[in-house]
Order: sequence, then structure tokens, then C-alpha cells
Amino acid sequence: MRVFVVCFLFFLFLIQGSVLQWLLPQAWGTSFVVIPQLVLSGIVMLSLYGDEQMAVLFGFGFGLLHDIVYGPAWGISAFSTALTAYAAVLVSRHFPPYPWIAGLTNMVVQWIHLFIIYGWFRLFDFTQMPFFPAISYHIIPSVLFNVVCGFPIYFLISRIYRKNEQNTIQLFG
Amino acid sequence: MFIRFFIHRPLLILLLSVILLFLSVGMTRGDRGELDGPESWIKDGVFRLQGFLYQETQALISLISPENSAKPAAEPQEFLNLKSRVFQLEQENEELKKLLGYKEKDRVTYIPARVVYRSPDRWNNRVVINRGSSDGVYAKMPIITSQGLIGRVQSVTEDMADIQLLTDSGSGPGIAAVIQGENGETLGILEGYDPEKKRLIMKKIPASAKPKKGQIVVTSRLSDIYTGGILIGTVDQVKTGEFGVDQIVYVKPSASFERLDFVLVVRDPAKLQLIRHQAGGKDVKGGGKR
Repeated sequence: MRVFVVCFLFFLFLIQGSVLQWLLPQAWGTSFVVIPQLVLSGIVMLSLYGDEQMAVLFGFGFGLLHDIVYGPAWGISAFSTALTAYAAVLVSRHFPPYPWIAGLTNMVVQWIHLFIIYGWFRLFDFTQMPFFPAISYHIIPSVLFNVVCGFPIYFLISRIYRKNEQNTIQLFG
Repeated sequence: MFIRFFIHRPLLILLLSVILLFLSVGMTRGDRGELDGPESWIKDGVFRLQGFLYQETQALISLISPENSAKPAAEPQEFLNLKSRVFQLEQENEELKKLLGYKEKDRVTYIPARVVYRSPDRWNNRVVINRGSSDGVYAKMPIITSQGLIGRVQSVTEDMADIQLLTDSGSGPGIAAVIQGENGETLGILEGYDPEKKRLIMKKIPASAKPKKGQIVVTSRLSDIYTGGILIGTVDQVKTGEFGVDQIVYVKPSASFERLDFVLVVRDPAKLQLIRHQAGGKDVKGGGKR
């Protein structure tokens, strides 16, 4: 099952850089920009289903892959994604994996992640974009897009785990 | 033992990872020249998968969306005038080259390439193409499309090259560019990009110069990297600089930075030699710091 999850996340990772770059609104000339973070949504859903260590490890692994393939320097996404995955794990310890909880957690995590990445980029001078334009043109549209796209990912991952849970006993939720 | 020591101290882990982050960013940032080892294997692996997806999507989209209807041709009279002028200039050029003893091997050549993938965020603008050092692409070569300059090569592996787009030029050393005015050329430095207005920012233009809207901006021959005369865009807006001694010009880029597909790598032997010379006689592979 882990292999299947890894393949699914890797597929999302590939789509972010290729297919979505043709479909997202900025490709058609809008001034606001949507940054797809589907892998992060997948990792949040994973953490809700209880695999805590795996979520943080996947956060680190896919973050590092993101850095090597897309990023200007190593370590920025690896650190930020692992940290936000840990935040998602903290949330999921207290709540059962209902869809609306998943949506809310995803929204908070996407905010934190975009902010941290933007912060590092500004600190290391990889971007010169001022703070408020970055929020209104990049971060807000991206959060909306990623929350909406998080739901199909949620249903897929919950389906994978339900299949697996048939042999186990569930007490809560 | 060690694992237990770390597991119960999340704060310690956080601090250590921040320090590690600073170290790794410090070591891996900037122009990297040619990459090798595991990094290039990972990049090449992802690149093969991405290439398939990106080009298939491009094919699908071009099927669905009707191609931009061809622009109405220029007026026949004007067109003929231009044609004759080009002919005249070509002849003149030919003669002058003969006088200079121009060698065929110094000719600028173009390496055609296709875009394979693009970084999902627009904070750093990185595009990857499917030509690498095995095709003769080196770091710092300029990249153009049919519409104009779009960026330069930042690092290469054997089969692919990373491009830093012009929209990311604020973090680099700047590009020497000239405005082609009525009374000669005005030199300036292209530094930075305004994402709201979608304009490139050109600085250090002398206050005596009077750039006008619509004048053409091209790369300067004096640049270390860029071949002279590559189209960048047109002058859009002129402002007085910070201290009133110079002017800032907003340049409307002629090339689109979205939906990139076919691009050309400019191979200029003279500039390559210059880069090699600056690297201290070493091979171009080393690359420089930003």
C-alpha cells in the first residue's frame, strides 16, 4: 500500500510541473498566479489517516525532490514541507478524519507552507516580490485552488485506507 | 541511544535543521555550471517523465484551442519598401564583413530546444529544456524564442539545461541593454521585474537621454554573456530614478513567458571565448557565482 501511495504522490509531483503549467490561469495571461501544491495536500491527508512518521518522512523526501528538480537551492522545501507535515500530524492527533476537518487542516497547512517558502525566498534573495502583492496575487489564489483540489485527493486516499482497514477494529470516528 | 536523545527534543531538531538549511542553501545556490553525480541522475529521471507529460499536454491544448488567428499582413507597399531595405542592408553587411576579415567560424548559431517542465511557483522562474552539455549547451548562454529574449542557461547536465527567465533578473548581475533611439543608442542595465505591471525594469539611464514610448530595447554588444542586438522589448514608461540623476524605464517584454514550447539557445563563439577567458583559462564548466 505504501508503494501505491508513493506512486500516487509522485504522479501529483510530476503533474505540478508539466500538465498544470498549461492549464492554470497564469498560462492564459492572468496577473494572479496559482501555485499548485498537490503533493502537500496528499501528505496532509496521509497524516489524517494516522501514519504520522510516514507523513513527516514523505514531507522531507518530496520536499527535497522538489528542491533538486525545481528549486533554486537545496533544503528550502525539504525543511518547510517536513515542518508543515508535522503541524498536520499535530492537528490529526486530536480530530477524526472527516472531510471538513481535512479541508480546514489542508487550508491552514497550505497557508503556512506558502508563507514559509515565501519567507525563505525573500531571505535568500531568490525573489524580489514585495509582501502584499505576494499575498494577494500568489498566496490567496493558491490556497483556494489547493483546498478545492485537496478534496479529490482526500477521497482517493481515504478509499485506499478504508480498504486496508477492513481487517482492523475501529473504536472512534 | 542517539535516536532517543533526539526524539524527545523537537526544539533541538528544529534548530539543527534550520542550521542545516542555511548550510545547504549556501552551498547550492547561484550558477552551478555543469552538474553531475546523483543530482543529475535524479534530474534526468524526472526530466524524461515530465517531457512526455508536458509535450502531450501541449499537443492536446493546441488541438482544442484555435490557434491565434494570423495577424493581418503589413500593407503591401510598406512590406515592399522594407524588403528592398533589407536587401540593401544585407549587401552592405556582406561588404563590410569582407572588409573586416569576418570568419565563418565566428558566426552565431542557434540550437533548437523544447521546454520540458517548469517550476510550479512563480517566485523563482525556472524552466528546463531538453538540450544539455552533450548538445553543446553551456552555462550562461542566452535563450530566445521567435519573439525575443527570454533568459539564460543557469546550469546544465548531460541531457538538459536549467534556464533562469528574464523575470528573475533582479537577483542576477543585471543585463546590459540599449534603447535604440532616434539619435543613437542609450545604454542601461536591466535589473528586476515588476510582476504587477508585467514590465522589466531598466535602470542607470543618463538623465540627458530622452527615451520615448515604443522605442526598441535590445541587448548590448558590450555584455559579457549576451550577443548584441537580441530583441528584449519596447519602452513603455519613463520615470526619474531615486536620486534624480538617472532615469528608470519600464520595458514591455516582447516575448511571452507563459506557455513556452520551442526555444532557441544562442551559441555565440566570441562570448563563449570571453567566458572561458574570465574563468582563468579553465573550461566553461566551472560556472561563476552570482
